[in-house]
Amino acid sequence: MAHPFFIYGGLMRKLNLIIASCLAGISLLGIWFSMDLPVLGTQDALFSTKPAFYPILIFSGLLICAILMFAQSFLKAPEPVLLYHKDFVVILGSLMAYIIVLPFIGFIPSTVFFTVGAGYYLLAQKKDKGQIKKLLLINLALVGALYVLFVRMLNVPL
Amino acid sequence: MNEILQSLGQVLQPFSLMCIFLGVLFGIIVGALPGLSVTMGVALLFPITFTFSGINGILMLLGVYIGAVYGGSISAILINTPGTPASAATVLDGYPMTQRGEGGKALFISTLASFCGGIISCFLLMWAAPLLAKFALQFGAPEYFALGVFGLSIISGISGSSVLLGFISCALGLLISVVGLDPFTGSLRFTFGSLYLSGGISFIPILIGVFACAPIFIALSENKTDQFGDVAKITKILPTAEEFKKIVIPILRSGILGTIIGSIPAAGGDIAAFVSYNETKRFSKEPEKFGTGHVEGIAAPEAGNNAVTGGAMVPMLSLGIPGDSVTAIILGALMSKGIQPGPLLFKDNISQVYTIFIGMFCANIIMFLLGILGIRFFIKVTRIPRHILTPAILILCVLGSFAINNNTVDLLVLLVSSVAGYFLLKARFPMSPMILGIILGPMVESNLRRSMIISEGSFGIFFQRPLSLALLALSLITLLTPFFMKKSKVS
Repeated sequence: MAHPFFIYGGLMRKLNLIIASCLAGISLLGIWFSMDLPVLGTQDALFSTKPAFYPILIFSGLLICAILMFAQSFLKAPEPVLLYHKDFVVILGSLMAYIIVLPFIGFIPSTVFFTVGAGYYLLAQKKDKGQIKKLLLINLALVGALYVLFVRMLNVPL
Repeated sequence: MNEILQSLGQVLQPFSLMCIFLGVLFGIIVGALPGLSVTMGVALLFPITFTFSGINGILMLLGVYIGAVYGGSISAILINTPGTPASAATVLDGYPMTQRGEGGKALFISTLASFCGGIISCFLLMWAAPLLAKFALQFGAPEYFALGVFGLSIISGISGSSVLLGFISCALGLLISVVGLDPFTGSLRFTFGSLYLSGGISFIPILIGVFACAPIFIALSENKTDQFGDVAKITKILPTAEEFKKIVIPILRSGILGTIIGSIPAAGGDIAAFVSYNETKRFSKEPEKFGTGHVEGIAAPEAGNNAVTGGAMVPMLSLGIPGDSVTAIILGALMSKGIQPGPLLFKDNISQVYTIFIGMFCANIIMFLLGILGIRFFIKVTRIPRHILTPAILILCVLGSFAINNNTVDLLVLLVSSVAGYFLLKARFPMSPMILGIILGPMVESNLRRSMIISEGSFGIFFQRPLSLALLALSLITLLTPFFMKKSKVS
C-alpha cells in the first residue's frame, strides 16, 4: 500500500503536463500584458525598438518550448516521482513561520526557536537528553555568532 | 626597474602585508557566506581605508576582492550554495565531489585554480593592460549583445540531459530580469502596482532559493540521512598525478579567457566562470563526466572567475573606466589618495601601478596559503549532522537574502523561489540556465535595443561588425556542439 506522502506511477508525466500548461498560460498572458506596455514617445518607432519587443520575444520562445515540452511528455515513458515527505513539509512550514515572526519578535528569539525546533524535529529517533543539550548549546552559540557578524559587524538591521 | 624595486619594497613592508592578509581573510569569509557579495565586502572596508596612509588601504581592498571571489567556491562546493554569483558554475561539479566524500580534493583544486587564474591575470595585466584596454574599447552595443548571446548559448552545455528544459529555465531567468523599469523609456513592466517590483526582482534571493533551499528540501523529501559519507582524509585532499595533468590546460585557458572577459566593462566573474566551464567541457576528452564531480569542471570556472580580478583592473587603470561595482569602489579609493587612473597614470605614476600589480600577486599568494591551510577546517562542515547543518544553512539563506537590501520582501522572494525551485528540480529542470538568464538578461536586452536604435531596426548590424559576427558564430557552435557530440556517440 502506498505511503500517503509518496505519490507513484506516472506522476512525472502529470507534473510535466502541469508545468507545460502553466508555462503556456504564463506565455500567453505575458504576450497579452506586453501589448499593453506604454510606448511613451516611441509610437512611430519600429517595433524592435519598443518596450514590448523584448518581452514578447522571450514569451514567444517560452510558448514554443512549453508546447514542445507538452509533446515530449507523451513521448517519454512515465516515471514515478516522490513529491512530498513529512520532513520537507514540516521544515518548509517552520521556515515560513520563522520568516513571518522574525519582524515581530526579533532576530534572537525567533532564530533560536527555529534552529532548536527544526533541529529537535530532525533528531528523530535519536532524541536523548545529551543530544538535546548539545543541540541547544550549539544553536545558542550559532545564533550569537550570527548576531555578532551580521548585526554588529555588518550593521544589518535585524 | 627602479620603480619595480621601489614598489616591491613598499608592498613587502610588514604593515602592507598585514593589510593584504586581513583583506584576503575578510574577503574569504564574506565570499563564503551566501548573500554577502564581493561588492558588499569591498564597500564595508572602504571607509576604513581612509585611515591608512599611502596605498595600504588600496592593497587591503584588493585583498578583499581576490579573497571574496575565491571564498564563494567554499560554500558552492561544501553546501551546494554559491557564496557569490561567480561561483554558480563551481556548484555543478564541486558539490557532487563533496557528496562522494571528496570535498577536500574539490577545495584543493578550487584553491589551486583560483590562485593560478589570479596569477595569470596579474601577468597579463602587467604585460597587456594597454592592449587589452584597446580591445575592450572596440566593444559597442552589438558586441555586448553578441557577448550576452554567447554567454547564454552555453546553456546547451550545462543543461544536462534535457536541453529543452534548460532553454525553458533560461527563458524564465530572462523574464525575471524584465520585471521592473524599462531601461530606455523608464516605464514599469510587469510590476502590477508593486513598489518592490518597480526596482526589479533582486536575484540573490532567487540564487539562494534555487541553489541552497530547494536542494535542502529535495534532500528532506527523499529522506537522505545525515552526513555525506566519510570526511575526506588528508590523503584524499591532494589530486592524483593524472588529475593534476587534466587540470593544467583548463586552468591556463580559463585564466586567459577570464582576464579577457574581465577587461570588458560589465562582463564579470559569473560570465567568465560559465564561459570557462563550457569551453573546457568542449575541449575535454571526458565531456560526459562534467556535472558528475569532474576535476576539470571545478578548475575551469574557478580559474576563470579569479582571472577576472586582474582583467577588471585593465579598463579601470588604463582608461579610468570602472568595469563593475567593485572596481568603481577601488577607483574611488585611488582618487581619494590622489591617484588618478587613466591614460596618464602609466606615465606619471608608474610606481603606484607596479605597487597595485605586486599587491595583487601577494594577495593571490596569501589567498592560496589561507585556502590550503583552511581546507581541513572547511571540510569539517560536511561532518556536521543534518539536524544542525540544515537549520543553520536555512538561517544563513534568510540572513543573506535580507542583508542585500534590508527588505523583508526579499524573504518572500526567497520562499517563492525555494518552493518553485523544489518543484522544478523534481521535474528535472536545471537551475544554472535560469541564473544565467537573470544575470545576462539586462545586458542582452539593453544592447539589443540600443543596436536596433542605431541600425534603425536592421538586424544586419550584428553581422556587419567582425567582433559581433565572430561572437554570434561562436554562440551557434557552442549551442550545437552538444547535439553533434550526442549524435556521434549514438552512432
